[in-house]
Order: sequence, then C-alpha cells, then structure tokens
Amino acid sequence: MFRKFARATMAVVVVGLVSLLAAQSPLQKGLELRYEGEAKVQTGGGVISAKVYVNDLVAEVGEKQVATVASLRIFQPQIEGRTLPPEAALRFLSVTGVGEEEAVPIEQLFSESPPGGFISQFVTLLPVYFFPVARLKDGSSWTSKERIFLRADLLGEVRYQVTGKEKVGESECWVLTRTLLKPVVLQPEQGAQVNKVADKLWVDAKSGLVRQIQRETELQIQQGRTLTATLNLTLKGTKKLESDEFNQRLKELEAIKAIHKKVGTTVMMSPTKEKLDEAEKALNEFMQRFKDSPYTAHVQMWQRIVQIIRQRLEKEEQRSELIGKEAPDFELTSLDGKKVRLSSYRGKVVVLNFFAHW
Amino acid sequence: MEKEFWQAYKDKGVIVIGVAVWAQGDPFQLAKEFAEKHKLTYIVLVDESEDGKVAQLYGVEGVPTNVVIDKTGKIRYLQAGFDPEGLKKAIEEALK
Repeated sequence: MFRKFARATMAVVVVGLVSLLAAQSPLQKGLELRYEGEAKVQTGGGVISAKVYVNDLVAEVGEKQVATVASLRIFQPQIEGRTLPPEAALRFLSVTGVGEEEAVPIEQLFSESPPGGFISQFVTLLPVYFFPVARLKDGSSWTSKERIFLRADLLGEVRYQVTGKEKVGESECWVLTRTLLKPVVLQPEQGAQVNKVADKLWVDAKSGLVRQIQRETELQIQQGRTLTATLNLTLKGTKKLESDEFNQRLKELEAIKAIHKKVGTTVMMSPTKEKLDEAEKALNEFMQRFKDSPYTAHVQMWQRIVQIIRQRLEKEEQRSELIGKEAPDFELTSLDGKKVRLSSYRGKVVVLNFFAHW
Repeated sequence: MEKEFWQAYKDKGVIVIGVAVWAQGDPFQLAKEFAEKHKLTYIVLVDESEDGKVAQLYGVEGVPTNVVIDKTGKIRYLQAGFDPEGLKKAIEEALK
C-alpha cells in the first residue's frame, strides 16, 4: 500500500516538474535566432578558417512543448585567402520542452548535412539552444548521452556543469561547460576517435537561451594524426517572423524535406542515373521557386554534390565501356623530350600508369 | 610500378608507360623530380593539359589508374586505384 502511494506521489512530482520547466521554453513558433562566428581547424597541412552562420527557426511547437527547429548551419571555409564553396547543413531538430534534443536516425543526418564534411561537422552537431533556467544553479551538474560525431551512430557521455555567472553584453548569463568524459572510438583498427569535445556556453539567466558558444574539439584520424578545431558563435539577433514571411519559410522547409528524401544515403551509396535526375529536378525546382530563400546555400551544396556524383558515375561507365575496345590513341612528350605515340607499340603489351606527383 | 612490373615484365614483351597528369606547377619539372626520386627507368610521358586530355580519353578520375592494352591494341584492363594482383593477372592474360 505504501509503495503504491509513494510511486503515485513520485509520478505527480515528475509531471509537475516537467510542466514547470516546459512552461519556460523560450522557443515559440516563428522565433528566429541568428548566430555568427568563426571556426579554425588545425590540420597537419595548415589552418583552415571559416566564417560560420547559424539561422534557427522554430517551425512548430507541438505536444509537451516539443519544438521543431529548422537549423541552417553554414560553414564558409577559407584557405590561404581563397574562399571555398560553403558546406551548409539544414537540420530539422526536435527540441523538448526541457531543452533536450531528440535523437534522429542516422539516415536523416546524412541528408541534412554535408557528406564528407569532415570539418563542418564540428558545427553540424551543436549543443541545444536553451536550458531550463530552473536547472541552472551555481555548481549544479548533470551527465547525458549524446551523439558527438556526425558520421557515426555512437553516443558519448557528456557532463554539464555550471561554473558561475558572467555578463554577455547587457545580459546576465550562466556559464555552463559541456565536456566529453572519455574518447569515443570510431574505427578501432585505424585508431580513429574523438578525443575531446569541450564546450563553454553562456546561457541567458532570464530566458535560458544560449547567447554564446565556445568549442574545442580534437579528432584523431588515425594513430598519430589529429585535427583540432575551435569554434566561436555569438547570438546576433532574435526576431519573431511576421506571418507572411513565416508561412513562406514553412513552404520552403516543406520543399527541403522532399529534397532530403531524394538525396542523402540513396544517392550517395547507390547512385543511378534515374535517382540523380530526380534529385536534380527537385533541387532545380527549389532554386526557381524560392530563389530568395535563406536555404539556397543548402540546396546549392546538394546541387554541387549531385553533379560530382554524376560525373563519377559517367566516368565509371566510360571506363567499363572501354574494356574490349581499341585503346584511344594519343601522342605526348616524354621526359627526355621525345614525341611518343601509343600506337607505335602495337605488338607489345602496354601498361599505362596514370599518376600525379602530389 | 618500377620493380614489380617494369623490371619483372620488360623481357617478356611488356612496355610500361607512366602518364603524369594534373600537374600543379611546371608539369615537366614535377614529373622529372618524381621520376628521379623513385628512380624510374620506364617511359614517362607528360600530359600538360590542365584538364588532363589523355586522362579524359580513358575516363580517369583519380590516380593511380592502370590500363592494360594487348598486342592488338585492345584495352583488357582499366582500373582506378592500385590493385597489384588484378594488374598482374591482366598482364599475364594479355601475354597469352
């Protein structure tokens, strides 16, 4: 009898707590958050720096205050003064009423984020946007299991700790650290692992919104080869979208969801001409219909990738068609200055070795 | 290439030709440095064109790519990446 009573009381307390925290979620429908900052990646070969832009839109708030956040994360790299094409993830996140991100299937991650975006993944997986202020007290801490590497379905244990209060601009903020407790092994045979993820977050003491993020990561690609990366992001502005603009954005996001079904794993892993045509059609349509959308960077990234996969497929076809056919003839100059024509070796078995010296 | 293929097969009627492509800098100078460093004694040709014209003829999209052409001038093997076993087999077949 007593145990039954205790359990019932617990349930009431838990429900009460959840609703208390949920009521404080600052993520309201139509809210847009803009973050800006920069990232630096130290590789064996040098430093890649990048401008980083994040645009989050609360597209929907459902039951129990679970918010669907459309998060555009643009990573614009520069190497030796040259600007490279941006890697632009567009993630659809479910953020619970207590500020936790619900896990998504890895297939979804694949279509939402840049493939091979080895570097931008430090941006793709960011901590969530807000923390219930009721949870933040001096010295309080908790641990949680979270996905910490984009291309692997592995969770790492992270520890959150409130270390004090600081001002960011005019706002009083809690300083919260988020630290990966032990390395996450990606490929044991190659020694690939995430050694370090250390985030420092400045959380607005009134709203619970994250105002500033500082991140340090260390990724071991193989034994003895590591990449280190830092990221700084600052909340530049919040805005409640007018209904016209908001509805327009929702339309764009619907079109993006349809695109995500056509790209990602299906196109990447087993591309066919038909699949590529379909994906390209959807991408081109988006660019025509929504040319002023903030999400064009993401769509253009997929256009580039589809193009690369198409070329690869065509070359592969060209190679397999060449087998059994006459070798295309050519004439080139040799290192000792002689003109050499391939067909002059008729009657011999010729091995061509295409190479490059880098 | 040098030891495993050129030295091993040159007396059996096999010609090895290296084709340097996609140079970033002076193509001849770079190819020369490469050949000296690896002590290459087989023929090394230089495809100076920026887009690798000869590479394109053969659908090459990455290096190394190896091609085996038989005595009648037909392509018997065309493979991206270095696969010594497959290449050896293709050469033996072409020699028959």
